[in-house]
Amino acid sequence: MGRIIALPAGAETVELVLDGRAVRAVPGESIAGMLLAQGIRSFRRSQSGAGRAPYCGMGTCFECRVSVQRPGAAPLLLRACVTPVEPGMVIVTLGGGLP
Amino acid sequence: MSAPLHDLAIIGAGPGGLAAARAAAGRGLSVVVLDEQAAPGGQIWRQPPPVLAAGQRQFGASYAAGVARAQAAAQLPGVEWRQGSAVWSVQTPVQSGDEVFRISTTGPAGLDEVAARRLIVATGCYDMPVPFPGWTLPGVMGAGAIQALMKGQRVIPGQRVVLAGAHPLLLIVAEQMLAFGQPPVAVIFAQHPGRALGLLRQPLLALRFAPLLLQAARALLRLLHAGVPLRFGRVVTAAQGEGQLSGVEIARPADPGRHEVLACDTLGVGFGFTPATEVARLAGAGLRWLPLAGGWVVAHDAGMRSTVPGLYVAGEIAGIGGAHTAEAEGRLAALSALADAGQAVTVPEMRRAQAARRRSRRFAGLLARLADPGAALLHSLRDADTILCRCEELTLGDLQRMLAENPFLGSGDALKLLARPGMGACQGRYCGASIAETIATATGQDPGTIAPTRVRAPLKPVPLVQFRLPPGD
Repeated sequence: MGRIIALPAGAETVELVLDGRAVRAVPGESIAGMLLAQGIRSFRRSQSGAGRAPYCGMGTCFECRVSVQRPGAAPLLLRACVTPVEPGMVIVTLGGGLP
Repeated sequence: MSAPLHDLAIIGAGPGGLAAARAAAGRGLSVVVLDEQAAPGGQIWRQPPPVLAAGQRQFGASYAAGVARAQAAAQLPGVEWRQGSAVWSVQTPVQSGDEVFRISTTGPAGLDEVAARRLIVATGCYDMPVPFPGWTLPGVMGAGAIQALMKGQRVIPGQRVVLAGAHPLLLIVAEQMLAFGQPPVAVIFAQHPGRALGLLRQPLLALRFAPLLLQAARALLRLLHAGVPLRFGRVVTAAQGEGQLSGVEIARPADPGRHEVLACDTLGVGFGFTPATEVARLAGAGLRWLPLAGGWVVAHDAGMRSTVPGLYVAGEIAGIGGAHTAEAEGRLAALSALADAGQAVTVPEMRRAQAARRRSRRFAGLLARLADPGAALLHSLRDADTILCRCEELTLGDLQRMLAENPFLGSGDALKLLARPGMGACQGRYCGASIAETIATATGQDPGTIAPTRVRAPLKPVPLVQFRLPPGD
């Protein structure tokens, strides 16, 4: 599970908040890549409350949408698979209480 | 707001869009390419961010060559690249009333608009959605999704991965996972290996495309050598798990009741691909029903001109055909656009492009017959409780009941008004085909007579906040 290569030693990281805790991410990686690399299996709930996670991995199915708040902006529901991480993002998934 | 006017806009920076840009560049036209991903290359040549660049070798030589072509495209003269731009609306010259295509995009930087005299649509495809019990569980995804995560993020989304379906892509993904030291626990093909002998029916064509066939053969040998279990003549009939995938049921297609269970946390499903025709459909382009090439595809003439004047198509949306075909068609579409714009395109140049396209299409047709799981097999995987519309959570039984109670409902659009299938966030991309098949079965029609549902802007959801005008504007 997770990353299939070793990150370069001393590689720069991006700090953000995931489900209420500070985490470090790789610059340029997608939110979905970060979540899956962390072992998070369920991203959101369906209308009936069932867990859902990335299905297409390429921006077409919308199953991976999570709450993303950029500094100073309102939270948006965005597709985790096509949204790169940014410093200071506050991300909420099902595990963090995403309704 | 007046958008800059370009001679040619290209939507999609995969093999088709890249080839179109190469053919159109340096001829004095202003060209703009719009693409949703962070870097050009499409799905097949998807690139990771620089920090995750290690591991490119594991994807093979053809991937490295494709990535190099995608990276070189940035230097094409007269071509502007707008990555991270998702097209959410297109107006044709007739629809816009001002004789140009108007293309609206959304991205991290907000909304934008492009105007162009001509438009090439090369929007590619996505993993064919195949509903079966449990396919909405976290951990079940397209085989292409697993590959996208490996190429773009250097992530394999599970520890015990099963790949199942009918498409040779499964072999390629399995070989790439093996190259990273994390092979799948099983690769399961619906067809028997003897099907590959069909290649012998067209030996000259097979020989011409030998490098592609050798790639699959080499993958097969490496997997066998590494002891990765390959199963033929079997299908995954159900995904099991509470809240997330914990195992799959595997059976012979003819005997689905007798199954074995294989524990896994990830399933990659690969039965083929579905053309992403939404942009072309929104522009009003006519469609054709080609079941072996992905279902509804965009109709075109020998020069890749769609039924909408000034709109050309290339690659998967003209019928699933692979990167080779997409490149041939991207080039041909660009040459047609140049010729129609009054640029000098020689007859031999045009003939060569058309011949390359025909060869690629013939080979793609041969592969499609080998990979075709057959509609009957795919239908047999669904039961009444299987969700067809993932967004609105409507099952096959729900839809069959509605069709029985409303015998005059004969189209996907009518069903949408009744129960919303296809009106969720995916906009019908993942239920459209199975719902049309359900209607066809219930009403005794051929699936090719059930038109796809109407598409409307926004093609992709746009955050409302992006519509807010900046102060003073």
